[in-house]
Amino acid sequence: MRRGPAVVAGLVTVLLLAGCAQPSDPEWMPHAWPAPEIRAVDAPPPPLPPTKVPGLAGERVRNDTLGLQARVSVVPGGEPVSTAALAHVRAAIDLRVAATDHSYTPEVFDRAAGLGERGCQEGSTVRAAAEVIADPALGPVGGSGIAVVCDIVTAAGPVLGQRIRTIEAAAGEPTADRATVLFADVASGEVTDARGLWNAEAAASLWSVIVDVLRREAGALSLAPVPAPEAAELEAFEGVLDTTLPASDGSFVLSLPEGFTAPLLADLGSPPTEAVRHLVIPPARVSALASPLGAMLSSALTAGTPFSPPPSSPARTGSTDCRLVPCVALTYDDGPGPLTPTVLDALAAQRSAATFYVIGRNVEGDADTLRRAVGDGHELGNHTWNHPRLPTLDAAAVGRQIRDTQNAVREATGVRPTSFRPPYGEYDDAVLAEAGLPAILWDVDTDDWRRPADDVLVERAVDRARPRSIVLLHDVHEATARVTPAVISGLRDRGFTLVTVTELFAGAVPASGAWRSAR
Amino acid sequence: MTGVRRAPRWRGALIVTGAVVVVVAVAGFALVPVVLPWMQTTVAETDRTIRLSAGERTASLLVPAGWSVQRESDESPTVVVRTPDAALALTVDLVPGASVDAVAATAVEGRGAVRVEQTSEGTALAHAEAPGVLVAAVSASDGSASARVIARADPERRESYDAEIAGLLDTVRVGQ
Repeated sequence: MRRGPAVVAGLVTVLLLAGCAQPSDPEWMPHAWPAPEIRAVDAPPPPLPPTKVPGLAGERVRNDTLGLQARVSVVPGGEPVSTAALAHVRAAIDLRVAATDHSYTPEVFDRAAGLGERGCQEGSTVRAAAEVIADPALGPVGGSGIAVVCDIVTAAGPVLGQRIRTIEAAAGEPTADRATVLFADVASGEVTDARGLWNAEAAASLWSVIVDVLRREAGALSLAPVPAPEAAELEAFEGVLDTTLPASDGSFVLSLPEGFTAPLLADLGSPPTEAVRHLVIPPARVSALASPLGAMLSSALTAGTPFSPPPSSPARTGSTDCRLVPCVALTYDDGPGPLTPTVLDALAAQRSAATFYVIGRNVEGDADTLRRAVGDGHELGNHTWNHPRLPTLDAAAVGRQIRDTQNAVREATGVRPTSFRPPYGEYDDAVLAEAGLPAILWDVDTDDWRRPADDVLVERAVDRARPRSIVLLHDVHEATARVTPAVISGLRDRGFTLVTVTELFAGAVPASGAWRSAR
Repeated sequence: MTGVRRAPRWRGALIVTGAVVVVVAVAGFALVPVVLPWMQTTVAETDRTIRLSAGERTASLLVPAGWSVQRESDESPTVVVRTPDAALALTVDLVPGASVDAVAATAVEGRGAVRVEQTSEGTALAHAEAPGVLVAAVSASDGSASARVIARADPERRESYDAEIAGLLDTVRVGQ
């Protein structure tokens, strides 16, 4: 009898529990949106310290007449790369010539100008424009004119990236500010801008990827693919590709400007971007959308491949345009000798060139030194066999002095000198006719053979030089060898680039005559 | 001495049975509306297409495997779909007009602006949000009717279901 009510109560309980229970799987998790392929970062990749990039050299041009100061990095042995960088300097000169109605002539300054510090100053392309203009190491004198500054943005494998920025200013106030990044394959000589890192499909593809990320951020629920951009949208987006900067892991960073939008985003009620956004394109996506040079760069960065500069001589010979930069030729007479290597060491340390007018009878005993001089990129000249007073000799004797020295130098080094220096600077028409080579003299005489004090010697060599001067020294005097570093740095601080005699004459010494300078 | 006379056993049984009947009656009135619908909830092991109709308007949607579907009958114009964890409930019905209008006309406290998109079929998709609630609608191609979806979940978790909601919305077809 008691069992019946219990059964009923049990049935009611089951109904109650069934009514409260819901079909559920507490272990089930909702799918999330796929992780976005691209991510945002706070800032683009910073520039590299140029001192950490092997094989670079710096150029620096200051011209107070035009109101110009320009600094770029060049790659000795990589002429197409250097030419592309220097094109921005030339363009700035052209602008200032047009603005001032002055012609351009390379200028030098006193040693305190400190122009020996050349090439890119790290971070100069991202500093405030007014700061750059006001910086005496970067801006035009007085704050009016043009500053050209640079940064190394990447260097991996054979690829170098340099950002070059041109700032125009009047009375310290910037009036124009533009930058471009040059990417160069120093092995092949290919040079391109940031857009050239991408292939033809990249703009449309990246546009869609970016709009997809932005729409999800705005709460989009559509699973439809992002429609392809309209022509105008694509054209505008090409400008975003110009901001491409490689990161150290092989990704590329794009900077999306403020005000970016798309119709799809507007329909979502998503306003145009309110600030610049730096978006990281991962290496896998880069490799699918990059140009061959871009892919090579990304791969090199991913692999951690260090930058490999092209081979070049320590003296950087052959890469200087003396119409663009102020040049001077240091010439060393009477060697080779035991002090010549010291001079060569100093020249190599500051990547500078010189010309050695050698005595024929010294060649055999120091052939190794001469071969090193040639290998370092310096020039050899003919200073006769044993240093006679040539006007006192007959024609045959003059001929032997020159010819025997030519043969000795060629036999030792494979090089045939293209100019001679008459001992004591003495020559006449007969000597010139018999020599068959142009006579290269000098316009700056250091009188080092008189053994002046070191500071006097340096002052003569450095402070008397003018653009296209030829300086006379002798690599057989200890003081001369000793002060070579100071002479080189002093001339560079004045703004000079040290070149060979042939470079001073724009790549070809005159066929005949006597020359005291290249002016 | 006089003995205590015990009540007959049949009287006690009668009292207990009467109490049980009262309890069952009360429970019946209170719980049938709750229990019976759950007795109309189904959970399929595979994806399944659910169809709605209201007059001449029709709609279909694909409910993923493991989700529950609750409706009064197969002809009901309204269906409630729940995720397997039962944390998100989506009420789907048919309303006249385009999707934008359908969303705009749905009164939900704190609803934000209506957003307009397209499904992968190219039909209009509109949606708006409020705390814990998403109101969405997918139009017929001629805009004459829309399938409206009102999704509700804990406000702190609602957005984590966006991808699931998007997947469901993309399967909605109106007027087919």
